[in-house]
Parts: sequence; C-alpha cells; structure tokens
Amino acid sequence: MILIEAGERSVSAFEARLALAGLLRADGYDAVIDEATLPEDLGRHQKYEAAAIVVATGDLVPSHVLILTDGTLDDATLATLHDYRLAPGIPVTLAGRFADRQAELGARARIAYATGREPALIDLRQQSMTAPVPGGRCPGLIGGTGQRRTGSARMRLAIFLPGDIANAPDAAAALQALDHHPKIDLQIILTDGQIGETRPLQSSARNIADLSELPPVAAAAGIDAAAFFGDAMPEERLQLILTQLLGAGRPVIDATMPELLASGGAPVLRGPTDLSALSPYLDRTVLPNLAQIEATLRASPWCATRSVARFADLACLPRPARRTTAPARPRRTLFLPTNGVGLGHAQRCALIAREMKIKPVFAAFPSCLPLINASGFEAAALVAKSPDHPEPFANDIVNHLRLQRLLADGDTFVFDGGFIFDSVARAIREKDVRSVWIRRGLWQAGATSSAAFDREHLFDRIIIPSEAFAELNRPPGWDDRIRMVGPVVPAAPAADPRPDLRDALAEKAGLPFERLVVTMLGAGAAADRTAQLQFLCSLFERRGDVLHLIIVWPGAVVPPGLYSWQRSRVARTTDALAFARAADLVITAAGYNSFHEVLYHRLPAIFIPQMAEFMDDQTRRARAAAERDLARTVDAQELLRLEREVAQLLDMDGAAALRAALETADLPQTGTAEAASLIDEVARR
Amino acid sequence: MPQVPRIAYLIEPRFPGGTSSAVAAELRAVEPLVRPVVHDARSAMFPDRPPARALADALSDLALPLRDGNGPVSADMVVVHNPAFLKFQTGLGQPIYCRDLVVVTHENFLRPGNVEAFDIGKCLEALDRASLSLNKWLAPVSPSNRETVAGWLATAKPAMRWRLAPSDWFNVIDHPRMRPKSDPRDRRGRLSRPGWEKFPAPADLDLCFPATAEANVILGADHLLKAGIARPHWRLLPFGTLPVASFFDEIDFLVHFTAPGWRESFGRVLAEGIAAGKVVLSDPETAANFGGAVIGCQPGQVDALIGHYVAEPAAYSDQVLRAQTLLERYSPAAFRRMLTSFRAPERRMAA
Repeated sequence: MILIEAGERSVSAFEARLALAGLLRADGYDAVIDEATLPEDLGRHQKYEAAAIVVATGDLVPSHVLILTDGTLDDATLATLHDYRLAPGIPVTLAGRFADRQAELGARARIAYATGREPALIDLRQQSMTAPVPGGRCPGLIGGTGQRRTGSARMRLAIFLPGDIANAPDAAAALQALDHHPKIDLQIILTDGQIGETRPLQSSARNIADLSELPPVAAAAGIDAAAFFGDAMPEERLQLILTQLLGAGRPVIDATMPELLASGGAPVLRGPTDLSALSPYLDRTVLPNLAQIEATLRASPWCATRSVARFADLACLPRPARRTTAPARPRRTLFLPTNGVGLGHAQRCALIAREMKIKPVFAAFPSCLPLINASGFEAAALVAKSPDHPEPFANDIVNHLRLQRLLADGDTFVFDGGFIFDSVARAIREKDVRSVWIRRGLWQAGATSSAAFDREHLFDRIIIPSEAFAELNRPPGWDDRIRMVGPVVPAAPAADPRPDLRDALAEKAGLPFERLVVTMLGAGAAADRTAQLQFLCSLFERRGDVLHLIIVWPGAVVPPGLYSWQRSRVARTTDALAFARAADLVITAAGYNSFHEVLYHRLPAIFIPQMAEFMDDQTRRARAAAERDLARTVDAQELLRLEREVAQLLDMDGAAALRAALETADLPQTGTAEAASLIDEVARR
Repeated sequence: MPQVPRIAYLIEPRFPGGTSSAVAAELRAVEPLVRPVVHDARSAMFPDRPPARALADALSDLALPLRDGNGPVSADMVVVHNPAFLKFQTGLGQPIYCRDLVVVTHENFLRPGNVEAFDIGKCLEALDRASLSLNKWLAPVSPSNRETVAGWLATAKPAMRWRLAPSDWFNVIDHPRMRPKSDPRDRRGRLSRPGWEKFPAPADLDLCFPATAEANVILGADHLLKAGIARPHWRLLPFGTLPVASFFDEIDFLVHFTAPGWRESFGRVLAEGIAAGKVVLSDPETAANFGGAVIGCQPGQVDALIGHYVAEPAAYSDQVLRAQTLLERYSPAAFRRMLTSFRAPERRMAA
C-alpha cells in the first residue's frame, strides 16, 4: 500500500490526496488514504470517492508513504506519522512546491523527526511537475488516461464555469447555441457548487454536472476539449482533469480573465473570455486544427516531464504487479432495478432479462432478491436505505463500491428506476460501460424537469415501456437515444398454468368458497391503505361465498389487524399474477405492472390508484381503463362506492361484462422482447 | 594578560529553550569581566512571543537594557547567538561594525545523515551582508557541534569568509551542585521543550519509560498530549507546568533520547541534570560531548543500567560526583578564561 498523506487536514489538502491517489490507482498502484485522517467537513461527493480509497488504520500495511506539502506540516499530521511506527525499511517521500529552501529543509527535518527516517524529496518545481496553476498541491501529473468510446463523431466539449457566469443574462443563448452546434456534444460543468442554482440552464443545455461529482481521471476520459471560464483558482480536481487532457493531446482553452492557466506556462489555447465568442472561436481555431493541436501537445516539453511513471520512479515506488486492465471474464450485462414503492422495477427487469440473448446478472435491493432469484437470475445484494445509517446516503456509498466491483469496462449497465442514485451515476462515469435507462413514462406534471432528469445524459439508451393507451404516452421527441417499446408485461399463457389453484387455496384456507377476490393495494410506502383493506375485509366477512386474499410481497409490513378476519387471508408471494388470474375480481393499485397485467390477462378489476409526488400518474392510468369500460376505478376515500362496485361486479355480472370487454379490447403488442433486443444491441457496440 | 574586548550581543531573546538559557547564563558569567551591550534582533521567527523568562530575569538582575531598534551594533566583539533566527527572513535589521563577529552555532548545521538542518547559507548571508568586520567566526558550542559546522563549511563552501573559531563557545553551567541521593529508586524522567525532534520513536520511548519503572515523568510532552500518545504509566506534563527543581525532585535518572534524525548540539538539560545530582543517560554521540559525565547507551540498555545503579547506590553516587566534577569545564570562570583567550594566539601572530 502506498499511503498518501498531506501536510494538513484541510478539505483542500484532502482533495489533493484524493487526486493523487486516483491518478496512481488508475495506473495500477495501490494508493490508499488512512481513514483516520479524513477531515471532518468532507462533502458528499468526496465521501463517495474516498470510500474506494480509504483504509481503516488497523488494516494499513504501508510499503511507502507519500506526503504532499508545500512546507506546511500540522501537528495532527506529524502525530499520525509518528504513531504509525513505520518499520525501518519503509521509505517516506515528500512531494511539493516549496516557497524557499528553508521551507523544504524545515519540512524534511520535521518529517524525519516524526517518522524516524530521512525522507526522500521530490521538488515539484524543479522536476517540472507542478499543477498548471500555482497553488495546487497535487502534482500536475499525466496518467494513462484513455479516451472513452463515443457513439458520435462530434467533439465532446466540457465548459468549466462558475454559477455566476452560467446564470449571466446572455449565457443561456450562448450555451444553447453550443448545445445545438452540429459538431459539438456539450457538457457544462459548474465549478463552484452552484448546480442547484442553475436549474434554468436546463432549458439551454442538456448535460450539466457539478465538478464535485466528477471522478477526475474518468471524467477526463470522456472529454475531447475543455474551456475554462472564471477568475477563481481552479480546484485540485479541475487541475487534474485539465492536466490529463493536455497530456492526451486534447485542447484546453484558457478563457479566464487573468489567464490563470496560460500564465503558469501550461500549453493551453488562449480563448475568448466571453461565452458568446466561444462558438466562433471553436469553429475557426479549434475544430479545423485538432490534429495539429494534438501533435503540438504530444511534443510539448510541459507534458513530457509529467508522467505518472516518472513521478513513481522519482518516488521509488515499486512498479505495480499488474496494471488495471480489462477483466478476464467476458463482457456482461448487469441490471439494477430500484426497489421503488413495490417490486415493479424488479419485475419489469426480470421480464426483459428473460428475453435477452445472453443471460444477464442483477444487483438488487434485498426486497427484490427473492423475485429475481425466483425468475432464475443471480443477484448481488445492494444495501437499502435505513434511518439507522449515519447519513441518508450511507447505503448508496456502499452500493457505489459494490457496483465498482460488479462492473468492468465494456459491460452493459441497465438501470430501471425513477431517481438516478449517485452510485448509479458514478458507476457510469467511472467505468467505460454501455448504459441503458429503462424509464417508465406517465410522469406527473412537471416531473420531467426535476432532478430525476438531470442525469439523463449519462445513458447511451433510454427505453420507455409504453402505456397501453395512446393518450398516456408522451412523444419521445428527437433524442435518438430514446426508444419507446410496447408495454412490458408478462405474456398471457394460452392455457391456465395452475387450473387447480382455487382448490388448493380452499384446502389450505380450510374454507370453501365460490368467489375469489384478490386485493393488491401496495406495500404502503406511497400511501397507507390500511383503512381500505380493513373495509374490504369487513365487507367480505359478511359474505359466506368469498375468499379474500390480500397479496403482499415477501418482506412487506402487514398491519396486524388483517390477520383477525375469517374470510380474508394474507398471502406473501412473488407470483401475484398467478393468484390474480385465478380470481373472480382483482382490487389493485394502478402501478404500471399490475395495471398492464389486468389488461393483458383480461382480469376484472377495480383500481384504487396510489398517488405520491415521486410516483407515476396512476389516476390518469386507471381512468383511461375505466373510460373504456375495461375496469372500474375508485378513489381511495370512496369506500361506499367501493362497496357498490364490489357488489355490482360480484353479484350482478359486472365481472363477466368486464371480461368480455377485455377480450375484445385492442391492446398494443407487448414490448418485452423489443426492450431486450434494444439492450442486446447496445451491449454489442 | 589578554585585553578584554568590548562586547555587544545581538540576540533573539524569544528562543524558548536552551539558547535563551545559555545566553542568560553567559551574560551572568561575562558581566563581572566586561559590561556587555545587548541588542534585540527581533526576528520573523517569533513575531508574537515575549522574551524568554530566564533571559529576561538575567537582564533584569544585571540591569542590562535590551536595546531595540535598527541602530548599528558596534563593539570590539559582536556575539550573535544562534543564527537560525534568521531563517524565515531575508535580511538583518541592524548593521554590525566590529573587529570580531562571533556567530555562536547553537544548532547543529548538519543533522545525522549529513542533511543540512536549516537554510544556513541564507542566515549567514544575512549576517555577512549586514556586517563590517575584520573577522567572522563560527563558534561551535561543543565538539560534536563543531563537527557539523566544519562539515557544512567543507561541503557548502560558502562564498563568505566564515572561519571556524579556535575554541568552543560552550554553554555556561552555573547551577548549584546537589548531592546525589543515597538510596536511588527507579524514578525516571525527561525534560525538553516540546517538539518531535526532541523525542525518539515510540518504541524507544517505551523502552526508556516502561511500566516497570516506579515513576516516568515526561515534562514538555505537549505534542504527545495533543496527539493522544499516552501510556497509563507515564505522567505527561506540558512544557513549563512544573518548576525544573520540582521535576528533578521527582526523579533519580534523567533519560534523554531524541529523534534519530536530530541531535543535541550541546545538551544543556543533561548538564542541568548532572548538577541536580542525577545519573544522566543519553545516546553515545550526545554523551560524548560530556566526556563521561553522561552515560552513553541505547534505549534497550536503559533498564539494565538503571537496575544496576538502583542496586548499587555507591556506584550511583560515584557517577554523579564524577560527572559534577567534569561539569567544572563549563563553569563561569572557565567561560571567562575562554573569552579572554579567544583567538589570542592569532592576535599574537598578528602583532
């Protein structure tokens, strides 16, 4: 382990450590950071990045200690170094840009006192390894940054700028012009944490991110050219990204008023400081000369001195045993369904996965595992959110680490969910994977401009399983990554696969019945349905001919009062459809899966829609079926109407009428196979 | 009879440890011979610190004013103690006019491993540029300190014409001699200003101050306390929180090891321990400065040596008394003799 330290415990010094560790790790070195040395006020995204690099103090087995310092060495750092009790043969190396000889000698001496050995020294200025802008602590090193594949021939331009410039009155027009430039794929990267303040920018550009959420080495691999605006000293991670670009022969445009990059001697292009002039500048100066710019940069002495390998040699780091390369296993497809309100995402993924040419694998939350396993797929467990965790995103940090291990360059990553977790976004950014978002439609009004869509740009393909009724589908627009497919729903079998199910239920319940009613109102995550369930139980308790099955997912929390009824029974199952198919009446929420199962399996049903801000528009969906006389719809608070509808369907041939209408209903072809085929196509790229 | 020169001192009185104590003792030793003029160098090293207590007391006792300001420092001999105070600035405020400029090198110029200890060239250059002087001397405080100064001169080959002083400008030890205890016990301690350089590696510190000792008093343990490096059998005290006399009352053995990358240039605290009637143990190189008055050993040998002296009180007493005799070479009278004969052979030759 190469232990990366810094002379102080500040957040900015930690950024430098993260940056250096990331660079070294990308080149195969086992660079780590001691968990005990993290600053207390780390940001959310720094925690994600640190998680993969930090090691608990007790597990540290350092073979080398690298300390970044400009001469500053605080007591905490010296105490930590002293307390490591490093074995005699473990070398310690200082790397920094020192103001004068005394700063260098002083740092060397204090490290010698604290570690009991004379440190080696890399004077970054002398070695021409300083960061592009003076003041950066991390050496300005160039790693083996690759260039991520891209589906288009357009130049991927990243504009780094602070929020005040992005929000300036004429910025929107300039950015919009660049976003629609025929030769450019634009990324806007906010450098000052003002991402939340720039929501209006979404109408100007599609790909907006905050610098803090970008893993630097991986981010650089996805950028072909960069322009840097503003007059603030660039953060360590930005310096690292820009250095990687220069090292890879990709143009970096210094658009700062004080010429921050150019004045430090970095081989950058001096560009216009006004955003509106950037497009013509690119057209005239950059785009026609990319090959020459690359050649010039590759021959630049500035770049020649900055390789990670040279730094490693100066620090006498042993060559890594093996470099990070593509895994020995074949490329694969990994599905990650979110756990959502029910198990709809997992069910949809399992259906699509069954149709794929090469069997995929899953990463899933514990509540989804039984369903996925029952569908015949292996699944690695993710960690669900819990109020017991110290931070609301603690589980997602663990999931990020798991995804890092599960995914390898070249894999295909399929996410099905409404909200794109940081772990998902990072997995896509960090690995050179093909990415697919299965995104059901029917968003509530205004939801498509929410944070859920901020990360849409990360995906190579977006598959939208359509709704059965045309008015519920929104046109996909002109984004060629988006494909709509027919409803993803289990195919209705020609013959009833379980003709004896009703007899088995009667025997198991010890209760003969003539009518079977199946209720599936959800797990209560979006809305509490205890009152409705109790009402239905009391309703059926009065009838001697009904067995009322309340279907819940395994692991769902069930109100204890439901167990006290004679004619109502709770059944935990991942195969709700089998019971629904055997029922005379289904009372269900109008989630995507249950709704389409009702339609495509011709099940007489009453929909009680669930609505919550973060969910799809179940009310619209249920009404669309009711308006066609294919189902009945009852609002959650309409209990008396619910009673009437139940009586009408069970006692007055209402159910038979619904079945008849469903038999003749003109429903679109299902899209499960097409969705699978679209994923296969992405995976083959 | 050599003529006593007019002496001016240019000092940074805010050095917190040995330098200020040494200057204080030196002023007390010199004052009966010649009344020195003392100038405050006021450096960037200690911008906000008051003068060291020992030095302030000496100046007060001797009614010597501490001259402030940028006026010239002139005398036959101008003595500058510890040039390291100039390491954080580019020049010296005051001009110096003298026949002999003596720069007393309180800190080793080279650390173990022959690594330059601080930016010596910068400090000496500042003095060189500020001074008009016939002779510019580098005066080591001990034989081992002399070696480091000579080593630096040989390798750095400074353009300035600094010469190595013919005799050591040793620390004056004028502490009253205390009788050794007749029944020494395994009570150990160490006293130093806080700082990582003053402390050995944790493993060596454990060897020097084990759980088996009756007492382990570590005075000046500020950084250990701050870093939470503690043992139940250690009594850790911040610097200055226990009077030195009280500290010596609590121990019978002074055990003084430093970081391997640093070495005492003189070891004033070791001499104080001897004067206080204690057996003093240190690394062989530091012990060599004291010609047998300090027992040179490795941390792993400390237990056995202390065990021996606890078991043999007579040997304990012999060691302390012999060491106190050897301390005479650092007496005020010895210093005055050194001062009056400083570069006398050269003066005779010049005459």
